[in-house]
Amino acid sequence: MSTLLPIFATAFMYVIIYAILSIGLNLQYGVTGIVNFTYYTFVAIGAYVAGVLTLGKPPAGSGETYILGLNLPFPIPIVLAALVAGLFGGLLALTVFRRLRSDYLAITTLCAGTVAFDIVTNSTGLFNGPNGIYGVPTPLASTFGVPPQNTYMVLIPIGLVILALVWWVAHCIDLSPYGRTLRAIREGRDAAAAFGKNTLRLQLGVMILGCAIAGIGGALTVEFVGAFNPSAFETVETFVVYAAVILGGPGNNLGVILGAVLVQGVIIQGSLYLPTIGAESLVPAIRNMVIGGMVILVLYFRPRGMVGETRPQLGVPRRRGLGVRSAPGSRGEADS
Amino acid sequence: MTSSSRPLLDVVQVHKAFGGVEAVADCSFNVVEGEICGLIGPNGAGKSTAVGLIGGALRGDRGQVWFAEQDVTSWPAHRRARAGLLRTFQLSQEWPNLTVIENVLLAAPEQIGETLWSALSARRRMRRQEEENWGRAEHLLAVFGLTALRDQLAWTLSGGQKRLLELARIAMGRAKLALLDEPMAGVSPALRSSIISQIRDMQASGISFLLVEHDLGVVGELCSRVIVMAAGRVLTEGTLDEIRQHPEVAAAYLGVSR
Repeated sequence: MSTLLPIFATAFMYVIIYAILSIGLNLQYGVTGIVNFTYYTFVAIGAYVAGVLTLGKPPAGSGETYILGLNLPFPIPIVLAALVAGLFGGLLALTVFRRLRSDYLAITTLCAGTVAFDIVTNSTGLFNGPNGIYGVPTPLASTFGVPPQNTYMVLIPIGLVILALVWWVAHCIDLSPYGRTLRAIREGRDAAAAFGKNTLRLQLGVMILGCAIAGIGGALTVEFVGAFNPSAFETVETFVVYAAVILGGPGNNLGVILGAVLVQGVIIQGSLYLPTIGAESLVPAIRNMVIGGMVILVLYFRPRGMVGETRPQLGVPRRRGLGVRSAPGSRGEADS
Repeated sequence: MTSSSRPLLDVVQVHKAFGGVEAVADCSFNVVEGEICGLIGPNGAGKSTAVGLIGGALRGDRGQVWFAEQDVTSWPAHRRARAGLLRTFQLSQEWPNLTVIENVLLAAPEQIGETLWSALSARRRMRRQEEENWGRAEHLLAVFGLTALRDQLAWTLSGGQKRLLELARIAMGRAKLALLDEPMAGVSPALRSSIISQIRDMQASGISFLLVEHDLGVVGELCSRVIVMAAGRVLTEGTLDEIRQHPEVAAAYLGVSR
């Protein structure tokens, strides 16, 4: 049991992080219909910012070079990680939303991610280049006397509190005219504008919020793992979060959490403990193929995902006895 | 003309070219408060472009659009809509994967809880207003004969039902002027008379209309005045009987040479 606990705790922590990331991406993609193919770049921004704010100055003679190194206490690095990631999300949105939509918007976000990846990798003074940052201490671990191998004991409660907060925000959006308007933008931007909705400002807000949530997920990642480098935010990572959202049910917060449990908790974490079959990279390759295959199958046979979109109706008078309900079927295609 | 004497909608020398094609060429016309004004012309006359320019979906190369005595030329579409200038589209643009009542609720103006901050902080006020809006939306669905479809996703509606839904949204949005772009396109004869009577009722409730329509029977039934466009220009305007006598209209639109 003692050997299994860290394994399950680690998997659980990753599920928490991916649930947070999935809710953020769901706001952008599932609810508003923004195809952001560089979502994980904002996870990286959060991770790097939280990392260099938590770390002290690079030790002399270590060869490490990174900016800041302010040694700030919890929870300041996480809050600032969210703000910086949100800020960059807003800048990207301002750049692309004025003129681009659908395919062109998606391609542009992909290009922006590639640019960010190259900057971080080649600019060694920023975040220590390809080696990345490491040795990031776990918040509050020393306060509670938690040994380094058991950092999940601190981070799981912190992660759960943050997940609850993020879910509450997303749930309030779901219940509000704001959420309904975001869905209208997904379904038809021109019609939304024709009925008085400032689509640019609304999309900008969702990009900032979703990217800030990604930043929080990144901050938790670096504080859990203790390190972050460019190999951790390759393009495929974004698609893993998309897989969680698509499998769970775009537009449904609980559905995407279920998707995060399936993709991260079962498939990714589960595959780490499979015996090596053939070449060392075969199991990870099979894992990605399984995720990709499941996404294709779900998109083909059940485009609403495992759960499907629900829309709690805030305004339904309670006396009518109508409450949270599922949308009565969906065409399951983006035709806006 | 002083600004205080302007009609509800005043389009002044508006021009829009796509590449070398002049879709709308220095057009001027107006819609006065309370009227249903028809805008007709052959395909490619520039009617839908004109509607786009008035509604704010398109930016003109030059000219001015005045609405309710305000120069709205530089206003984006959402700001014009908030001022009471609402439109429908040539192809119905319902929000397909939202329910019928959600489609109507979305048109309600000045909704509390339509920003992130108010969605999180003003939940009690938001709920109260939402219940009022819900009641009004249900009333409008009853008026437009859509009550039975309230919880259906909008994409499941027939062409005519979608047109009725668009009119319900216009009513919910408290429009002063509605731009209807071919509201009878794809509508069965049975629903046609229903839509005509709904437009008349909406006019009686104070909504003015600019009606783009090919069906001259509908135009004759609804419009007190008709503007004719051809090749991006305003050919003439008057009652339907007057414009029928116009030789250029007969040639350009009715296909008759005199």
